[in-house]
Amino acid sequence: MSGHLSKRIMKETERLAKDPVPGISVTAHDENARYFNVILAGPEGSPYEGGVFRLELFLPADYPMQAPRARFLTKIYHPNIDRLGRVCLDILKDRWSPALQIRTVLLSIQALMSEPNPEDALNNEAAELWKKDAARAKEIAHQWTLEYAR
Amino acid sequence: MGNTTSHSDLSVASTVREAPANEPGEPLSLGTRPAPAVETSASGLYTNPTDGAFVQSSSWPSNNDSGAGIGSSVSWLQGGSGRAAQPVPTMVHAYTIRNELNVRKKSVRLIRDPDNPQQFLLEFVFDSTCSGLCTVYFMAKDATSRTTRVEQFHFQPLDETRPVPTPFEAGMGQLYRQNTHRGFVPQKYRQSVLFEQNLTELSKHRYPIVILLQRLPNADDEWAEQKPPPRQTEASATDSGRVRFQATYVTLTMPLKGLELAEEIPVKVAQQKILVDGTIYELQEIYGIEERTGSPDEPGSGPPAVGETDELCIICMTDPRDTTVLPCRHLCLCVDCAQLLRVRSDRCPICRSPVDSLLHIRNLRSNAR
Repeated sequence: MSGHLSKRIMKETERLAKDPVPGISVTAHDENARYFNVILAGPEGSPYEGGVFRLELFLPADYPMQAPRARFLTKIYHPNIDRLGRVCLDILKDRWSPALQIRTVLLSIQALMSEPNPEDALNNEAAELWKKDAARAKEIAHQWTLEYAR
Repeated sequence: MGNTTSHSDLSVASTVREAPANEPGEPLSLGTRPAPAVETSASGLYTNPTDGAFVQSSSWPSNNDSGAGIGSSVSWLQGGSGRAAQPVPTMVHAYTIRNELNVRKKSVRLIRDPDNPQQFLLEFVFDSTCSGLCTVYFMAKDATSRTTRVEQFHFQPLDETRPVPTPFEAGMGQLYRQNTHRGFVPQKYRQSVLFEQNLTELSKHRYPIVILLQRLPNADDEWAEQKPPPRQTEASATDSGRVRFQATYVTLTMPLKGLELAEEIPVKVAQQKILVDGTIYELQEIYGIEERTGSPDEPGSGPPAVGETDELCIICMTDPRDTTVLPCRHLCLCVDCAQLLRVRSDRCPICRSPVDSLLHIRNLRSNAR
């Protein structure tokens, strides 16, 4: 494990603290600099608006050569997020690039909340409903937000 | 240096050494010369008087469209380098040298002569650290010799009158403007030949405009006499590793039809080549080098302080960027992380295109001063 790469994590953490992203809070764990508690505000204009979503984010040993792992801790009704909170997002998988950062990953997750992609589903039930009756699906997503994402 | 040189002039050069023409199978040609062999030993890297870095490399199979003229200028190399990507990209080390002659690509214009509306006058800005000669050729064939050691560029204009070289002094940001009786008269040429987007096609015919800058070894006495370019025997030892010529190939960007009344014919630089130590290099841009070398558009601004995001390696965010991904030419890595990328990934972090090799530019920092 190169010292270089741990330096990168420190830099990213510093920068996130110094120049935070609106609607996103990232806090490194006291005992593990690779584990972050994340709080995302539900994007405006989405069924998640007004909700506060907790996530965990973990940087694997060879980050940034490998993508971070991100998981919703708050229950969310979304075609690309399953009941365990796992997120289906290309940049967390085969489209990862070391040019991406914690910041860009979280912004992408926020964007995914605004623009679900039911064609690439992780939660099949939500995806089906989203395709068939988007209004109804969004209503459920909003109800879940009110119930769980407080 | 606080002089102004546009960012677009930052370029990379790939070697185009002329091989004896014994490869009839080569599908592509450069200039009028068949089968340029693409040299595989990359060692020359190259910096502008103020900012750029140019490198030579073995192959540029590019799918990158950014940068005017670049797309077309790389296309000819694809045939020579269409091999499959290596599992582990090679690490190539290069040194930088100064480019002493440079036409600023974005400055080239073809403006209607107010005194003689039939003709257009060429105008461009160039930088030179030495005195020399500037020659402009219209509708020129590239007749540079195909020997293993190239001593000079040789262009044949369509009309047999040889253009008269104009002497210039050393200086940054010099404006060249053509004499009124030597302008470009589009009516003299066939339209289909004038307007050709595809450089490979074009090179079979003629280049509409070629600007040749030539450095004179001991310029002050020599250019007054307008001697022919020095032979190899005349080239002094100090000539080694220095740029002797820069050729800038200019094409028209749209057909002339409809431009009868226009004050200016739109042109672009399709390609630039330099001649160093008997070898011709094609110049191509390195993306991201302007962050590394400071903004030359702001005199006195100097290179950015270390610690600014843009000049640091995209992977470790700690060390300065000094390694370029090839063939996409994204300068985004430090040499340590490039080593890591070699074994861990086969994609450019910036554009995700496959990595063929990585080019470490050793003295990029010192050249930025």
